[in-house]
Amino acid sequence: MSVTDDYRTNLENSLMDSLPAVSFNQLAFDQFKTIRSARGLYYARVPFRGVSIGKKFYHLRTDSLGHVINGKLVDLSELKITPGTKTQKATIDGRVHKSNLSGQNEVIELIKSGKIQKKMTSASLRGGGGGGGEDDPEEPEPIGEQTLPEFVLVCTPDNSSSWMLLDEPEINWDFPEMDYARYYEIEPTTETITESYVDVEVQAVPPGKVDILKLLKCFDNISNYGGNVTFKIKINADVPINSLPGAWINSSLSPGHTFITLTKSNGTETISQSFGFYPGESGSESTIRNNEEREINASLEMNLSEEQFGTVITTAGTYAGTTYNVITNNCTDYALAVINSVRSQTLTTDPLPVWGWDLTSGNILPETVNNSPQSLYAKLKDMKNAGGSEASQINIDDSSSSHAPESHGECN
Amino acid sequence: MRTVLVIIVALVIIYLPVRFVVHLISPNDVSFSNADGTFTATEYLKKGDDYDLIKRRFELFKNHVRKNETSYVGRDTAVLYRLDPMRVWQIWNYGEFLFNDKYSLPYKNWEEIRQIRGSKGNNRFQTF
Repeated sequence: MSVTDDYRTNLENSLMDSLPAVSFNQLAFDQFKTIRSARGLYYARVPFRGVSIGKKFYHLRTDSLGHVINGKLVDLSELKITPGTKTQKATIDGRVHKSNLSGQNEVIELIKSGKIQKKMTSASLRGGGGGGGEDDPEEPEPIGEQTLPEFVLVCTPDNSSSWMLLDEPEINWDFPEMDYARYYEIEPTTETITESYVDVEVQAVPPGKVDILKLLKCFDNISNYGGNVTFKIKINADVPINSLPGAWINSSLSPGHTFITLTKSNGTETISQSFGFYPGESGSESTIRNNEEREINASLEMNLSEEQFGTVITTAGTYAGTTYNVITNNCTDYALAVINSVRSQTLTTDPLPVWGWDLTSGNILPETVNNSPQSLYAKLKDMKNAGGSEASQINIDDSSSSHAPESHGECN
Repeated sequence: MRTVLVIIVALVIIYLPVRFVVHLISPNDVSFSNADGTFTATEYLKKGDDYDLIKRRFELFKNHVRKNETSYVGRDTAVLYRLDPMRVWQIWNYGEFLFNDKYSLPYKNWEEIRQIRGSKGNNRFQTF
């Protein structure tokens, strides 16, 4: 949200009227943050001079002009964040202090492992309140507590923090430049708290790409028990020009694509995931993209056992970490590696001789591409025409009307 | 020394112009969004992820909204906008501007949408 001088002036004037002078004089208005929620409401966060905005700030709701409607003082300086590792999630422990604008009616939330364990008033903490440190239902909430939306504390690797509003229709994060970020929802309106944290790997999964492990994890959502559990894998080829299936590239210089569709069903429940291997971006060596709705010109489907499905998932996850190379390790190599991990007869294709330009490096390519969508298409068509045992599992469609099924998306 | 000179000359005469031409004839990947940014997508033409694919995914998104996403009810989700303007100086793209369906979509500035939406959410139909 762009902030006008008028907004800031009105915000300052409102707080000057509402805050004790000693507090007002400590505020760093040149560092305040604003956000406009999806509902069109305006919020501001004003830090103190010399104190990180992630540690202590005034959390305010304003009108569009910057006039303060209500607010509270939030102090997170007693929170301790232990960064996570690859195998261990980050933890957050300590206390969150909240009070009204004048610093009174303080509520203290005890946080353990990212969850609110207990809410107390400062009076009860000192032993003078109603009942052994427990929250007193008669104790009035801090001013604005009932009307301000709660915030989501976002913790980053360097222990700084940001905030989000829980009245947003979705959880958002603001750290595109970070390697990763973690968020913790702290919701004081309920005694027991919501999910404590979710990992966000911003750089590892750039926009438009998917985390293969989170994609494959969704299959855990369907039980392996019962008599109707089925597992399937399908390898799909999308050639660049349907009327010329052997053509290297189309007018957009696309060489086509090969990808995998995995499906697990149990009774009426079905989850499908279609995904493929792509060149890396933003410094990564390769990426996996969701291929739902992608066109299919040739495909081979296989029924799998539960054990084979597990092998496929392991291979898909492991091979996704290899380096993409258009000649030696491309999308077709990836898809063949995944499906061949459970085939008794390895599926192979004929090399495709090419002369062209590598758009990434600009180099001439007097080479043969070991595996390609074009050669996979030709292979599957030959197998279909030969009428072998798998012919009925092969589908050839040059009409652009076959598409990959809807994918489930990622699961945490 | 002579070999080095030949390589440099070859670079200048062959490689650089060819790269420039490849850059020119390679169509630009165009980005799309609905009015509130709950659906966003970008083409990846070098691998065939084109506007037709994005249209199919947008239909999927709208079905998804109708069935599941009650929080989107009443919001402006159903119209797809093009986020890349038609730049008159890109004469090599005039054919695309005139005949490609994606350029018949209304244009909207991404900053306007981003200010409404805020940051990218946890919605799988948002690719940025």
